[in-house]
Amino acid sequence: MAKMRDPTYYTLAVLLEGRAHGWAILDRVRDLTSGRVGLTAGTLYGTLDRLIDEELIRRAGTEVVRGRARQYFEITKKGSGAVQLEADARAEDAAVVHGVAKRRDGARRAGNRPVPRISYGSPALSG
Amino acid sequence: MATDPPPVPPDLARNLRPAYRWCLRAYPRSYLREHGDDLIWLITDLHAGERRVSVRECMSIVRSGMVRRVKLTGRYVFPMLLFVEALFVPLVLGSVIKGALGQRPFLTFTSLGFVRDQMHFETAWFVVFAAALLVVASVLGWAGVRAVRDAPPSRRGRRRLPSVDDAGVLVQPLALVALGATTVGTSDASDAASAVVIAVGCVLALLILRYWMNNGGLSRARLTAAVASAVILAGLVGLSAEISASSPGQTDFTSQEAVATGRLFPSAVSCPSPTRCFAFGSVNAVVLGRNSIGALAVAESSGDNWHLAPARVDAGGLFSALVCPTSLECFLTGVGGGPWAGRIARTTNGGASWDYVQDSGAVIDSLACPSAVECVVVGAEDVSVTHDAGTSWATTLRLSRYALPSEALSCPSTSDCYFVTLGPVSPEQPQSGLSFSVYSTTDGGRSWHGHTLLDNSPGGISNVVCRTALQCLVTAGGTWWATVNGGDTWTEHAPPVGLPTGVTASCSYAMACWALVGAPASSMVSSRDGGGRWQRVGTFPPGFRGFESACVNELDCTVIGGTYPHGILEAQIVTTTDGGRSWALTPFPELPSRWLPRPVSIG
Repeated sequence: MAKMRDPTYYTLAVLLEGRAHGWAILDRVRDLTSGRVGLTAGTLYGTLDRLIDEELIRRAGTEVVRGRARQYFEITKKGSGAVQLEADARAEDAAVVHGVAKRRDGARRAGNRPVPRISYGSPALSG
Repeated sequence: MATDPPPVPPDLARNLRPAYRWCLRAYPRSYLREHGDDLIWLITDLHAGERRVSVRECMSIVRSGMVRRVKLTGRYVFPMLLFVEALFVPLVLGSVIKGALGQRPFLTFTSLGFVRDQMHFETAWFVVFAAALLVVASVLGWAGVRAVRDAPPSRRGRRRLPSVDDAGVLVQPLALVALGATTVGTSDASDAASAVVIAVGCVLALLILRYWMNNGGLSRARLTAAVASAVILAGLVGLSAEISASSPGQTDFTSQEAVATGRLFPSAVSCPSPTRCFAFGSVNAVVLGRNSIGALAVAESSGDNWHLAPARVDAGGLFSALVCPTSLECFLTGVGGGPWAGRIARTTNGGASWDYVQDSGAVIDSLACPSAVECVVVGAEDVSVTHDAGTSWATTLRLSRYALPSEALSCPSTSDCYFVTLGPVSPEQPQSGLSFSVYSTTDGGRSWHGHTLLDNSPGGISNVVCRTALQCLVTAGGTWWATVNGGDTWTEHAPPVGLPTGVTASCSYAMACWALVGAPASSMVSSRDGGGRWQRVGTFPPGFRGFESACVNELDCTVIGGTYPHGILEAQIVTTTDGGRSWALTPFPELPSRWLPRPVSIG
């Protein structure tokens, strides 16, 4: 099973918050990743089209905002399931490293400092 | 939730927009009609405030546009491709199997037959086919990669074992390498091809097995990719087998008929008895200076069962003389030059083995062997005879070096032979016109009597027809002469009734004579009174054209020749046992591929 790539993952993550149009998705992805994942219009539309083909998202009407026709997209049930699975997988991946780090730190300090709860993805997702 | 972008300075947006529109052309038109506005606004907003067109953005637009295009057209292209391949694959696979079994494949490049220049033809088609297959393989491989990469994460697997899609991607380049190796390789063609088939089959089977073990199911897309990959592999392997089997060569052909390299060209037939015939054909596969390959097909029980003699013979050629005085002994030579000019091959075991009893290099025009030990050879400049099956030869007559080659030689008995020549009246004046001369012997070729029958002959096909050892008719240029005393005296004779002019006739014992009409012949005439009166016999099977005949008596006759199903000769043999009323068609036996020259690299 292929790991979901970042543009896909974050696009789905944004749409999990609610339906959005292209520019909004771009803006939000940049926000969520602190600019690490910078999508171009081309990659975004490539991703969106593919996700529509795979029925992870669907088109959700057009609205005219400030004289511009804006296409909205929303996540499907299948899509939200997929992105949550992916989030779990990423958490598992991270947990491997965190677990090692915890054991090592624990051995060194012999202390019982609580391990911080690890959250993945954006704060918006957990909330 | 709907955030909105900051307002765009209208002038900037307007300036950059045409450039981005140009990038957007990568998308299919139908897509742009629906979503183009949305996309261009998004781009405008995203790049608001920038003074230059973003190359990165443009590239990404073009890329996703191309993906859209491929997805749109793929819907139609893939089924079409599969359909074409479904038609193609039985032919190719069948050819591979037949080739591996040492038979002639269904599909050869020669069987396409619309270009006669074999060498260029095959090279060109190889390039076209390879290029086409490469394109198809790449597209499928690329689609496979995408399918794997973009698969929805419906399962929680972290590690992924190779799937059929990967197999397609991986195996296709391997197959191309194999193709190249097979084509260039020096090993035996069919062996290499079958080895590749087996190897590729194993790899595919293994990968499919792993796929089934690791993934729960098989989607239609993956099945399509797998089938297409298998089909392409089969096609590639078949192609390589074809190319190595059909062995293109560099040749200097002497006959239009034999231009098709690797085609068997039947050139001589001899029947020592009604139940035993020998036919000779050669494959003109002169590869880089190597010579053509002979084959002697042996038939028993009047041509019902033809099979190839076990040994190949390196003699003869497109025009050959084959004389089999007994059912085991044969003499074979090429006529009129060729790769083995002057070589006479002899077998004493029906073609199981050959030895070469003469290899002078001098051009031989005709050969006659009235017995297993006595032969007469008329060459371009002299006549030589042997009385010990070729161990020793004696030149008993010198001919004018300006004489035209004559194939008209007939030995109705071991002591009597006749041949005619068309030569200049005198060697000093080669332009003075052709004189028609007949030479005869009554002592087995030790001494010859020459008679100039006609000066200033118009020339034309010459022929000797002997009804007995002493009674013969000779002709050249439409004039007939007869002797009744073994060549001592000749008198002009009326042309035989019913015999078309310009045909070569021959007679056997009991006054049975046959002649092929036309060259190549579509019919025959026969005579039962020693050549005086002729009549047409039944027609050959449809499409058959005869080159040479061997007729034992008034009932049994064997004709070698062929049909031209696609303008390319398919060697055939027809036989009759009822005086020509009905003819049975048999294909000339196939040559084993190990007799053919090794494949030539065209890479």
